[in-house]
Amino acid sequence: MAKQVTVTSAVQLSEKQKSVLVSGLEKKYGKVDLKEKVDENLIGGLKVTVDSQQFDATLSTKLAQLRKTLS
Amino acid sequence: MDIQVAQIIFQIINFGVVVGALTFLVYKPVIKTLQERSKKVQESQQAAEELIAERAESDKLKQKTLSQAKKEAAEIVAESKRLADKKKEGLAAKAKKEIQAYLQEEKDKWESEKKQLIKQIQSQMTDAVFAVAQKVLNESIDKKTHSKLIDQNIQEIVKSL
Repeated sequence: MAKQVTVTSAVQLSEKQKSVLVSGLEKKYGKVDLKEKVDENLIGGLKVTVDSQQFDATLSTKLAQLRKTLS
Repeated sequence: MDIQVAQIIFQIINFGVVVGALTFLVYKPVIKTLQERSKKVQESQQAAEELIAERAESDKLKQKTLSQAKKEAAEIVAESKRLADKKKEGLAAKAKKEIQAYLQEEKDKWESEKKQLIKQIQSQMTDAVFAVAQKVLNESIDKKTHSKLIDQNIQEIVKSL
């Protein structure tokens, strides 16, 4: 059964980018079913959600972390 | 002149009787009365002297008691004054302490409010700065930069798996 993976990015991923990502994910999780989402609020970068795990490299998250550190 | 012996003797006897009668009836009672009176006078004098002495003694005692009472009264007044002064000092010190405590409390409150206000302003400024940064980033990142960023992120994610 294919693993459900959600990738949310600020802009649409290119086919090459999707392919590299899926390839990397399949090495760990086996067959994956990639679901794409576009959210401009992320500013830049992307985040990947696999089950309860999340890999967040978005600019909005980094900006929020910086704001938390400074306040 | 014929000296009549019988008459002389009669006169002598008469005289003796009169003297005896007078002594018995007058002299002795008078002397007794005089002695009694003298004794009474003496007794009265003695009583008067005793009374005078008693009075003097009483006056002396009265003076001593009065003097003692005055001394005690003065001590009581002095002690009362001392206690009143001490109480006054105590009240003044207490009031001063209360005022200082109140001022310190107000100062601490002001300092706390000031810190809170500064923190609030800093937070608002930070929010404003980040809102501007977000807007600038949104407008300045082009397609090429987006693509580069995504490639970088994908590499990071794949490496971390």
